[in-house]
Amino acid sequence: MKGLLNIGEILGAIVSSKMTGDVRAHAGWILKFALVLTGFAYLALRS
Amino acid sequence: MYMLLIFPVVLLFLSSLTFFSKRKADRAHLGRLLHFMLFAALMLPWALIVFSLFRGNLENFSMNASPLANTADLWLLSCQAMLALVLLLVRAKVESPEAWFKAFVSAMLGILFLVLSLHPVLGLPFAIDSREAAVVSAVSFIVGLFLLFGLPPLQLGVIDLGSEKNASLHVFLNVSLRYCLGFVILFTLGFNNWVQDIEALSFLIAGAIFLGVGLTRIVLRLQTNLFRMLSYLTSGLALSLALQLLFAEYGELFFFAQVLGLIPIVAILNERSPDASGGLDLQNWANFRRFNGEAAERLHMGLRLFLYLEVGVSLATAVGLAMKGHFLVALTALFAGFCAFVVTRDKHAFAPRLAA
Repeated sequence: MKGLLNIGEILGAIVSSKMTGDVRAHAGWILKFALVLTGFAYLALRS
Repeated sequence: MYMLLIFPVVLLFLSSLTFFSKRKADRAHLGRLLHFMLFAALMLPWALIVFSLFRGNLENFSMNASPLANTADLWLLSCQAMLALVLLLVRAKVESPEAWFKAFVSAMLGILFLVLSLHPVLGLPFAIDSREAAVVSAVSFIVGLFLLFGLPPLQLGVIDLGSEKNASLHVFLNVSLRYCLGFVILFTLGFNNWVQDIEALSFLIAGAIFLGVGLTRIVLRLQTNLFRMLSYLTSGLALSLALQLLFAEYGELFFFAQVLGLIPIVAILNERSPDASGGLDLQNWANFRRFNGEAAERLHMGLRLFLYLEVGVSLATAVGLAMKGHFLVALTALFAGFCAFVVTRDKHAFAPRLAA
């Protein structure tokens, strides 16, 4: 039951975007990192 | 094959260390049931690999026929279940929900990237044979590793949990979980032709890992919290994956050497703290040194040994790469070795810095 409540709480936090700033910035970093790496990987494969 | 035999024994060691932890300064132990469930979750991948081997795939046990291919869904599920279970179970023990949520995002995205790249059936290089698939696969492997092993610049999700109070939890999150993931990745790399499929990019992956590990070593010496330090230290397990990509087999050996080097460090962190600490935060290096002088000395020695091992292997890798003519990757390996060496020579490492 406690586990279910925990999951409910997490989903609620995502939907209401209560936990915004930090988590969103973190996800942004991941995306940027992946994009830059893709560029490097293309260059590495071409050379 | 010997990996399969050693994995459960070493995990048992690591697990039992947290089980018999005597630190009184921590709020409480993890409950016995919780402890057992965490251990069972971490054993899942091993149990499934052994199950798939004994299902009758032993005759195909070679480099190019993955015994995991038939039970690929189980591979996927066991990895995800392990992470989800560990994170959900520890949630009750963590004080800051935001830090936990960030760690959760890191772990889930990390495992998704890893599955996209490495899953024996769904992994892009096995599903599509094109240059684009190889590029996406290599990039997702790097991003997944950086997220799961907490390498900069994607380390924040994991590091934020460093201020939590429960020592057993930290050992589970930073040592056992990474050991378990490292085992799954090394096993998958060893028993399918993933490396051959993206051969041209394996140097890029290794270079990225060397740079990431080097950066963790630069920030390692600035840590004043014992468990943040442990988290940055265990990021070094990613080094064995780079070694496995460059020189197969040596990666596995180095992996076990690293885990053996970690055992005394974990053991010292679990030692009994004196009652005279007066409620001070013993997760802080300065307080730990003050009240546990001898243990702090031994911890320093264990750290140095661990880092010297890393320096030696990084330098040997750099020489090997330079002899093969890959000078740029050799330079990144040299950087990783140099950064680890600087930590061992720094007399003021882990001491609190005074504000200017």
